[in-house]
Amino acid sequence: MSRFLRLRRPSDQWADPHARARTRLAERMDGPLGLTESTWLDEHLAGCAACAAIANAYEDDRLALRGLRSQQPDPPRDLWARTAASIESAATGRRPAREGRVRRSIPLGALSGLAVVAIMVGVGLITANLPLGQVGGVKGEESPLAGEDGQPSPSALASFFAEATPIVVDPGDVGYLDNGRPGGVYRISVDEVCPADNQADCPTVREGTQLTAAFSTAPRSIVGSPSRLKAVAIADSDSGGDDVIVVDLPQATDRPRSSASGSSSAAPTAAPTPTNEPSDAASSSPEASASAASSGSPGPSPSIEPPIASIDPSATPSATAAQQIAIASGIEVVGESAAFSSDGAWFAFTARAADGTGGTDVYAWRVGEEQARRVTQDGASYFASWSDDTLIASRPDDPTAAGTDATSLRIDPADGTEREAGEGWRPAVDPSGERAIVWIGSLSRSTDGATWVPAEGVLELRAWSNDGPDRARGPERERVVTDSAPRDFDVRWDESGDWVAVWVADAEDPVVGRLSLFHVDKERNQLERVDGAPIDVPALPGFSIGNGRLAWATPRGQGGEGSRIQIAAWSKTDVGIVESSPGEDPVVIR
Amino acid sequence: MSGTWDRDEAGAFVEELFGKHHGEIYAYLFRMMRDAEMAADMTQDAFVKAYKNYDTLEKPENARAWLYQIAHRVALDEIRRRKIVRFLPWTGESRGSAPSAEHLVMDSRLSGDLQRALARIPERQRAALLLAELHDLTGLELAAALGVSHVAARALLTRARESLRQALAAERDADAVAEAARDAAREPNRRAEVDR
Repeated sequence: MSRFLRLRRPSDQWADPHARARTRLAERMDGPLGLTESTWLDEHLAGCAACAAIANAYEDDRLALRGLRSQQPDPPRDLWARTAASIESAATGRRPAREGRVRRSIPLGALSGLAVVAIMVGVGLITANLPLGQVGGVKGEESPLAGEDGQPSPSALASFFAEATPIVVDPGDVGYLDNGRPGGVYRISVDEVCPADNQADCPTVREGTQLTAAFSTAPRSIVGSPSRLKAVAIADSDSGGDDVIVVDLPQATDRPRSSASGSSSAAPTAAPTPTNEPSDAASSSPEASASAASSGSPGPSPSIEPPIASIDPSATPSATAAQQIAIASGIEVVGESAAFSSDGAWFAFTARAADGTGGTDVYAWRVGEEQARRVTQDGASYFASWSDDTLIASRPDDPTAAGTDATSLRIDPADGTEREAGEGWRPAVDPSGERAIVWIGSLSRSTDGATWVPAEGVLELRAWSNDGPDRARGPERERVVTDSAPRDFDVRWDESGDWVAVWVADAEDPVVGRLSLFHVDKERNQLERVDGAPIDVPALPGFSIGNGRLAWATPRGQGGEGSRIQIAAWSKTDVGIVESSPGEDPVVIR
Repeated sequence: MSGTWDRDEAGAFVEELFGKHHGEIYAYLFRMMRDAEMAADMTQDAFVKAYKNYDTLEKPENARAWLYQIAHRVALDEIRRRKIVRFLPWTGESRGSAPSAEHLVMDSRLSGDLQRALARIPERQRAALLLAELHDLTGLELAAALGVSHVAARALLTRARESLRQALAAERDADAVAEAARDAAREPNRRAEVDR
């Protein structure tokens, strides 16, 4: 009996008749060909001994394979006992998580003209059953799940969670700004990604839910606080230079769990959902108060996130524009290193006067205060990263020279007290404070003479202490990110310190660069390139890393295709990637 | 069945499934992985996943394909894990990185050329061939088990047949070369015996 129905395919697409014959022969093993192809194949075989031999080989191979049926291996006798014990264990634990969900595909049209911010939300979000409408499909072919009514057919339903053998990851959200739709904040949820070697079959992620309009201007970048309750955005100022703006981020709304047969039309409720926030400094800040007042929520409640499949793209904003506070203006923010401290109490960045006078200095803002303060006064300091609540900065050894080495500093942001922290330029210290990725080498002035950039050296992983970077250990490949001099770089660690992402600006065009994700062998202080993880992928400045995922935006395609948001996510064993459909001008952020 | 998830009902159903299909699921995983112990562990995993995902099964008559689908995914996950372990040495030696005793026995029992050829082709193609030819899955079942469309499943199977043919040819060529080398190595001894 035929395994498959008759295959319909145009017969005139073959340049090589023997390749056509091989394919048709193999296809005929599993089902009848159309009359035209069948006739053509028989005629070809009559005149082609090589193809006839292949036909015999296919038959022989089939017989050999079927011969293996007589060699059926016996399972262990205790297999059921082991399996039953595992099932019992699963039953007595928490309700098992669903192993998979369908990825839905809707073009990320909302990304037109947007500045994207990736904001990681939601560890431990609860996923709901799927409303099985809006079935996504594999590129280039009809969705295997779609039935006559557009809903998945029952037989296909059984296969949905193995579609493209996705990698299941802990659910989490990526948030972004949409400046094309007056600064709205959106989020998309990802709980499955595709293996790197199966991207061709991977559906795109769909557009996220709009939570609220948060910005009246179009920030070019935004950094979310660790609590994700607030963010600092950098936007062009009407009066020249940049405005550094603090805004309360809208929170996800509660939605009831939907059942497998439920509708996807449920609109978001009006009440923003406080997430499982740490009680950090933000809770006592004016901004936090404003956030609480606007939410109308009586207090924290469990965050119940809709899975990606239940998002309603037509949902209306559920909250009003958030309060914005400018903490710095009349300055020009320099570089890509701006960041919150790990406890969310401080935010620091590098800036110089907007009128071009003076050099660069480090600015810090204590959450809850009205203005950021300049904490260095030498006109040649750069913010590097945070080590707990200590600010790490770097400056050239000889700011008057054309080229020089660099020194790093530990600075108390509260009083500006400085202590030396060894050699190196802009060390990005990991959450443990035990290692850092740092530029070891010389600096030179940028072409405009206003800033300092790496000249000769390496950007590499080093052991780190209060005294600065330790000497280099181990093979170069396992510690060096790049030995070319980047005009800028941005290094960010995930909350565990197990993963680190490095963006390196293009030597010719600093508005694009390349992004790499590394796993860190903490025992050996080595960087490891993991199968499936992005390495040197084109990326716009700004990315987010945390909660088991890395999000960034790709540059526009040469053919005019818009940028995409790409998300790499990892489970305990696998790394995979999903991406959005092209948008207009996304600028992925940290 | 969807929408509710009754533990007792799921447990009873999976136990019944196990009774009917655990042998073929184990055999499939054995042939995919060529490791008896691993196949047993993965069979166990597959049925636990079936239990956990009981509410995703729409129709009981699709249970066999659904089960193969789970097993197939377990196998691919393990294969991916092995690939990653090469890059993550702190997790220790990859299970199955050295051939087990069962593996060696299996190799010796089965056609060596065929077994090696199967091991050489891409795992998805190997899975398609095994499921179609040894486990008799229909076209729709095969598509469901592989998690692809009907058309994609057929295309995969077509590629798999050609890959296997080429892999077998390569194995036989290698056998011929090895045999010729052995003959050449034996030739001096034979001449020496003749001279004596």
